[in-house]
Amino acid sequence: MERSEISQKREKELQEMDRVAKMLIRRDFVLNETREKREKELEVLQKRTKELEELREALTNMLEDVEEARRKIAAEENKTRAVFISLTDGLIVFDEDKKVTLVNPRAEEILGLKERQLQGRKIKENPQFPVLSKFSQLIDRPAKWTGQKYDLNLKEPTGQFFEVTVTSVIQGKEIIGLMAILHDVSREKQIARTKTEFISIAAHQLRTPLSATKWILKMLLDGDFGPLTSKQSEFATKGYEINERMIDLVNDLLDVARIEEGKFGIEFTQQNFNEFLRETVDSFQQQADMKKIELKCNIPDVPLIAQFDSLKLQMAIANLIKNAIDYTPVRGRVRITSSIEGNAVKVAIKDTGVGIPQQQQKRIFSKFFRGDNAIRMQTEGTGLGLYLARNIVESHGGKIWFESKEGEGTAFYFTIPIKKL
Amino acid sequence: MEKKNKIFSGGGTSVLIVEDDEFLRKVISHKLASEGFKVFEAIDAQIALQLIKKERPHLILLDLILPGIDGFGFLEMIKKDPNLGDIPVIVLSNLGQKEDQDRAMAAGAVDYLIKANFTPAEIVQKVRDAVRKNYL
Repeated sequence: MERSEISQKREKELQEMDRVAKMLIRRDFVLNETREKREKELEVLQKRTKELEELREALTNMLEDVEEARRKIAAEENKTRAVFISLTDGLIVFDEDKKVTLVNPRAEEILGLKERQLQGRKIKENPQFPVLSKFSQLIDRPAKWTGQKYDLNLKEPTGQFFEVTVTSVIQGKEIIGLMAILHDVSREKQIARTKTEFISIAAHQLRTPLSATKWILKMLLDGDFGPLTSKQSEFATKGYEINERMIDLVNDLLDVARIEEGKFGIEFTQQNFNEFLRETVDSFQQQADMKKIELKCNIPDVPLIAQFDSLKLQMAIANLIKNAIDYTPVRGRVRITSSIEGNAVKVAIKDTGVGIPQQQQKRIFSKFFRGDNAIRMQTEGTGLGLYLARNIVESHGGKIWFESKEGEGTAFYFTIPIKKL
Repeated sequence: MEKKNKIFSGGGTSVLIVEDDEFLRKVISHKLASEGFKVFEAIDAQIALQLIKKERPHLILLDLILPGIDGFGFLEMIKKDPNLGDIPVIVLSNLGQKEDQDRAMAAGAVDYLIKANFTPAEIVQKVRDAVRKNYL
């Protein structure tokens, strides 16, 4: 009994101990769990903090980049402005409402005003600058500006000429304004004037003595001053011919000058090309006969109505036929044919002449050029004939070319588009 | 034909040559005279004007580059004058650019000859043609 009591008591104590132990273990476990959770949370927090810090750094960097970019743009703007300011041409920039946004110093100088007097205003709102009225008329036209050029004589008495180029200022695909560039062409104008004066001097001063020689030799030959002996006549004829060549040279030079001035106007009239060509060829019959050259013509006997400048084209064809006869040895052949090729008439002038040396073929159409063998064969000749011929054919919208072999012959070809009225 | 022209010109056809180059003036004057024309010579526009008023030539051969009033100015002047405007004027010059020719023809010239491109005989023929056209 006693023993069992003790044992019972012990058992209870043990049970109690077990309960407490279990409780302690559980609490420990819970505590552990909580701590772990805390630690995890802390870790997340630290990570977030780090991320935020990185973000802040990135943002700072970005801000710095933006600042740098802004500085660069400003510097670029200054540079662009410096370019505008330093331009030796006058420059005026307008916004889309044609209000002035920039006038560079050269433009200020040309127009005799200051940028601030115009800035933000339309040019026609400035009646106090009469110099601008012409400019205003020019720019206020409703046009699509794509770099058109205009002559502007801004200072009439001083004779200063400007070439004004007006062009749109385009950003992406949008037109955001207009700019006008004023380029001083006074010097060019002066040179052009001098050249025209030179032509006039050449014409008058060279032609006058040539006319005197021509007239007097012709009158001698015509017997106006009494009959000549055959020897006198022979020499006077030679002198007359030489003088005629000088006159031709002056005429050719004047034509070349006209071409270079851009004033060699072509006057189109509607005519029968085949008939015109036959007449031109026929006028060389005598010259061909003198060298016993067979001048053959293969031109269709049908009217071919085309538009051309007969005076100028006659000059071009005559140069080609004359060359063919001049540079073909005695008893040779010169053949002229015409045919239709597409929308053009194609003319061929073929000879059995000395040909053009291979290494000189590239230069054959240049001014004053004459082939070595051509010079040996005939000392006279201006070297302008083919230059003129090419210009005349090209100003008709045609093409000119040749095939040649030294010692065998040359064939010149040209086309003239058939334009109908 | 040749005979008829001689009779016609010998009948007192008068030509005034306005030309400042003495030699050219003498040559063409000699040629015209030998063909039976009555010839007057002037070295500038001023003398030419006096001669026109006094002699009333049938035709004027006119150079363009002249001292003082040039040929264009002279041509415009006489074409504006109701008493002189109907005298035919042939320009005989060594200026030959298209603008010069157009300007002279617009001012009332009946023909335009570049000296270096015509012989004296051809010039005489042009004078005959113009006289015939204007008076017959």
